[in-house]
Amino acid sequence: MKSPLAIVGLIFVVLGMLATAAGHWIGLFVAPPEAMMGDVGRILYVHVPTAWAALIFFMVAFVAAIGSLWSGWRGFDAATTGAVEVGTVLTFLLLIQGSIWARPTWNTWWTWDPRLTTSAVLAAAFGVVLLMRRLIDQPAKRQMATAVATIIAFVDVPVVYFSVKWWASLHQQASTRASMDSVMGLPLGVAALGMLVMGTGLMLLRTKVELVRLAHEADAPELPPTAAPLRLDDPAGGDPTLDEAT
Amino acid sequence: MDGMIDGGWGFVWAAYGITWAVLLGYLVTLVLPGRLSPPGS
Repeated sequence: MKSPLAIVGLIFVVLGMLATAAGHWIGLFVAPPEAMMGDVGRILYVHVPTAWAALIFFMVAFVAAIGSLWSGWRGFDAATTGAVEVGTVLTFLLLIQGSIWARPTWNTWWTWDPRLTTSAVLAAAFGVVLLMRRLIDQPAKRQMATAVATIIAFVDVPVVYFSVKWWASLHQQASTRASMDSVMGLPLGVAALGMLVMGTGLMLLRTKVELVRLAHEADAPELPPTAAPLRLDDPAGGDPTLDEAT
Repeated sequence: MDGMIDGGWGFVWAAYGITWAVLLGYLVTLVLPGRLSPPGS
């Protein structure tokens, strides 16, 4: 692995994991139980950083998608894919974490609350972007479709963020420094920074994987548009070894 | 404390465990041989 992008990506992943682990450790073993939620409130130290990071990577994907449309450069296409995939993984994780948190606090695994519903739509929308990308073979068409679909899916990001303000929601409002004690803000901040750095590393690695795949695809020889059909009744068109064998 | 939810560590460990397992698993898929460098290099 000699690629600077891959090496930087791995360094970010290791540093991010260390910071995330430190934040989680403080949140699990040093911070006090939350006043109402008790120990279950410790899930917020993993849930909130995951949510913040997911939305940030979708913003990165949005910017990369605009760059991809604007310039047509393959690097932007790969970066869009990397950011969308990391953001989607994090969004599925935050849905699972939220569901685990909801069971003891709301007495249900899932409810069609505005924040939960818009988050599920977000995961589905960007999941479709990744799926669609796999289904298009032509590189230029795939790059344009990925960028356009990413921009369309991004429309849901501000809706997710403001859903707790726009509609009556079971989900609590965004946590701020003013809404929590510093002993709880520290693990949240450290874990959020760690998740962002780790996610950046994963995005760089995924971008490199996509660049390698795109380069390999560009170097592959052109296949004929349609394969010649095998005709057993025509010796000129069939496999001569077949005739010898029979 | 009145009104505080008792227990729940199982939910906490499940949330953290799934998160770390998924992120580490995703990392492994990215660094598998051949994914970060062209085949044969």
